[in-house]
Amino acid sequence: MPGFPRRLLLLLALLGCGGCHKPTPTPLAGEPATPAWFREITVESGVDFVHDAGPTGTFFMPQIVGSGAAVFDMDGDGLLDLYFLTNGGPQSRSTNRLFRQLSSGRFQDVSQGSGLDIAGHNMGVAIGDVDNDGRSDVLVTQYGGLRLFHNNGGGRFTDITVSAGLHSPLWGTSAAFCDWDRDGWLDLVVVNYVDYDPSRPCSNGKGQRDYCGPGIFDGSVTKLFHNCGRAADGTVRFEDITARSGLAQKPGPGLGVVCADFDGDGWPDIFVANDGKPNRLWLNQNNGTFTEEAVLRGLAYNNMGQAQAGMGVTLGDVDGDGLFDVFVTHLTDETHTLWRQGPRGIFRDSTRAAGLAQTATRGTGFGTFLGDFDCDGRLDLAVVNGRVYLGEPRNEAVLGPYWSRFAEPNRLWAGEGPGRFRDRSAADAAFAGDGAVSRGLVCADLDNDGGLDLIVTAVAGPARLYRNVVPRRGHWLSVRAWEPQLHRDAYGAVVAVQAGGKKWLRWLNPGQSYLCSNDPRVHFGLGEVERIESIEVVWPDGSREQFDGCPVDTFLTLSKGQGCRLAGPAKEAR
Amino acid sequence: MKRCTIVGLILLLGGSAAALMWKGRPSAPPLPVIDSAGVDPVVWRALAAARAEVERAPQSARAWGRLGMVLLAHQFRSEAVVCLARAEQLDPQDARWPYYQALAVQRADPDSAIAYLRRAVAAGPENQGPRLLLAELLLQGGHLDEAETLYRAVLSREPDDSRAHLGLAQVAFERDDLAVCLEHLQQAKTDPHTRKAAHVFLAEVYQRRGDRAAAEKVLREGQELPDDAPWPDPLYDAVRALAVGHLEVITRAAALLQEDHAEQAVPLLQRAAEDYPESSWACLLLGRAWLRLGDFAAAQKALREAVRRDPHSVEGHFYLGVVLSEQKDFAAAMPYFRKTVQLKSDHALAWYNLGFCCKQQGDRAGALEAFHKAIDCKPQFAEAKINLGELLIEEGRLDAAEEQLRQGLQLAPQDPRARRLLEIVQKRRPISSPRKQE
Repeated sequence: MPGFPRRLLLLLALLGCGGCHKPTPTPLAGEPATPAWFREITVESGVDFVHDAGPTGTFFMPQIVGSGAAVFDMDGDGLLDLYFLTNGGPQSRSTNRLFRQLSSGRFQDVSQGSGLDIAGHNMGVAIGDVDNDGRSDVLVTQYGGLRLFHNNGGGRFTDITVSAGLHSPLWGTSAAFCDWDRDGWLDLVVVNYVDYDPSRPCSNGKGQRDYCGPGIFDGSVTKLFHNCGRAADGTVRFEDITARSGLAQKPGPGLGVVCADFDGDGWPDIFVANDGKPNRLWLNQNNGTFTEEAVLRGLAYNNMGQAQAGMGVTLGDVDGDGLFDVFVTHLTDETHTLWRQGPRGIFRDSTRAAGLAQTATRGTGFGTFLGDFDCDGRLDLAVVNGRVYLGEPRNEAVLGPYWSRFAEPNRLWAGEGPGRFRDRSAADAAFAGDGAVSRGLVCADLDNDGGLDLIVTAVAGPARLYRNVVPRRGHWLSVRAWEPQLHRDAYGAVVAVQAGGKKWLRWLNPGQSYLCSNDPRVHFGLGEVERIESIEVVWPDGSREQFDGCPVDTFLTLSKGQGCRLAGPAKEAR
Repeated sequence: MKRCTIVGLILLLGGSAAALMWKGRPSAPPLPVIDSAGVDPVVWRALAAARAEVERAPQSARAWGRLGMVLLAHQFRSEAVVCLARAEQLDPQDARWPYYQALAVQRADPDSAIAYLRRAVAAGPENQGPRLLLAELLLQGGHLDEAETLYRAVLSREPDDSRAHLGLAQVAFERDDLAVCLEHLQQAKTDPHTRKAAHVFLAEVYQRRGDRAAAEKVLREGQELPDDAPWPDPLYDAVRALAVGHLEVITRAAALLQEDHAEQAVPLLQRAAEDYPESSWACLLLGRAWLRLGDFAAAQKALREAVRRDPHSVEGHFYLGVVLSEQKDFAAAMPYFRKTVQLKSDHALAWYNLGFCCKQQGDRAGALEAFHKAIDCKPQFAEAKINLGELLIEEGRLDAAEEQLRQGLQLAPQDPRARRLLEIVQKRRPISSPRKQE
């Protein structure tokens, strides 16, 4: 500032000035007003996976649906490893890739020779120990197929699809393992999309070629495979019970799935998010059959009676009433929808009241997760976006002229109290900034520091890892619910933590979001609570156990049978 | 002289005022630039014609409005809004212009749509379409009182307006007033425009009130109903009528086929097949239309053209097989069904038809395999299960037959053939069979 006395400037600053605006702390250019929660660590992590979507301009519909990813501890070393799916087709040279986490926190590509390095139109992935041998197996859904890989240990997997009796020619999307008949063997739910005809050209109203929407094709059924257990020769066998179970009666263009007890009878049910058609809620009748009750339970439509384009789905108790709520992602022209549960088994669209209906925060959402990222005791929400139809280009310099027309930025909301959220995307430019054609979102505490990290997959783009860097995070607890007799995680367990006069619940099943499998542990943000008073687990068989309290900021493995057994099953009237 | 001066002054003042008013008029916006890349040439011609009209009469609200409508009809939404805004500037009394702007933005930007709709309602209070849409957007935004007022205004003119009753039911539901909600749903449950939605809503409300039996009953009734007819909206129909191009013709023809008006679809598709010499889909639909009319020769000709234009056309091969099957030429049909499943291995209907042809040709093994494949591709395919069950009976595989028939009956409970075949299974089964004893 030439010619202006420096001392005078200081004086003016000290005096302030009458009539001026009260000085407010303003961030420097480029500095966010509030600190970011996530920092991208893709490069430093060693993960260099780039998704192959096949050639552009073909408008081959499976291309735009994308591919997912999974986290799981493939080798039992206590560190979560990563598995990414690709979609270049069976003849492509690009394959799915497996990354082992090293003790340094970096990831090493161990795909070659693992058995998981397959090509194809790979869509979704589910993780579960299908033969109760203590090692997590891998299920991959494809456009036109399914693949099940047995974990042999040592980072080696064997394709056991045929011997396991798994077969489906349909367009598989999300999948999840759950023991719906409570026999101790993980059964398999595979959601299928539409009866797509690749020779059918689609265009928009202008006449420009574009990806087809689901509405012009028939929807497919969700397939249910019963795990018959391990035979004497050690092989595991599945039986397709789709028709017998009743699931064949109502097909639909399914994309997202989650298994949980929706009606409070203690048995796992199946929720399927349909794209442009009413969602399905298959309630377990405990006799090998399911009845569909999405309309009756309030989950089929939004509050305007509209079927929306359901994609990803996540569960969580957003209002602290002890019942899980359901969040489903939709198109940019729609709102995402939060259905709050209450009374038990009945859901109501509460999107607007939750602060999630603002036009400015819209996007074509796919992967999603309700997790307490800042550990303040309130669930936060992440959604990854990317269009499915041509739009205005975004981030063209990075994505190129084709895929930039499908790019959208991701979104992040902070939980603000019972059932309310505040958009904080602007503060998280790394996660929600530039825009990509994002699809899968995996949530996991990759570095075991008590903060939930995020992994995002994108169509024709790199997978990205985001480390949780929330400053002054609250206290936390991470729980692994373990069934020692089954040698595996207790998929379907409900874990309740009591502390500081509050109670937090989590529902254990890594199969949620979109085409992805998440951290198999349940994570609790506890805010300022400094000691856990007690932990209660409702095991998948309905029995309840109470475990002693413990300090916060710790990892806990709760083994069935080692707690104090509580009387009576956690069963309520339907 | 004095009078002349006064007249001169008046003229001068009047002229100045007129000049000022002219200057104060909102200036015409530039015509929106439209990217022609990939745009259907027929659509482009329609746009060019509407654009030329604006260039000829830049002060005409009608010309700007029409260009906006043509743009809106072809999903050029942001460009449409520019033109419609200009039309509204030029003629603020015409409710169409703000209404169409609302239609252009209502999904992406409901808040702006609400502002447009308020103007549309003010400009044309006689139009119920804008008022109802405004009420719905307000309801969606949580403005229950204002939405209710608008719905009641509609009912004051049309007491039986079922869309308003459906909206008031939603308002009542949001307020947890289930009794009032039920009253309005009863009013909406017979109108073909709202009856299915009302039945589904009623089921949810009954369930919430704890009346499970009523909920199940009304849900069953609702599931039997056809989809609700679109709500009549003459203002929007005027936009729809301007849509041209390949997609429009194909959509219209497919709808005509669906409504069993194949004879009306034929001329449309013949024209489309000429206008779009690369369109396999136009020929395919034309073939299907001729098939529906029973003209197998014309159908074959159109379908062969479809396959010539696109040798990978799944449906082209499939329908060629269907045309030949319809003429009982099963041997000739089979290669087309085989080609179909070669192109699309999960084509359940092609597998089914192949099974049927095999059966007719006496190839029981081929038929069994094809029916199995059809079910594999479409587990909800009741007819395939029943046919498979019948074949399995003939093979003497009674347990497997019963399994398929029971599943077929579960999917199609009213199917008399499945019942009859199940009875046959039970008659043929030895009395001591464990299943019988159950």
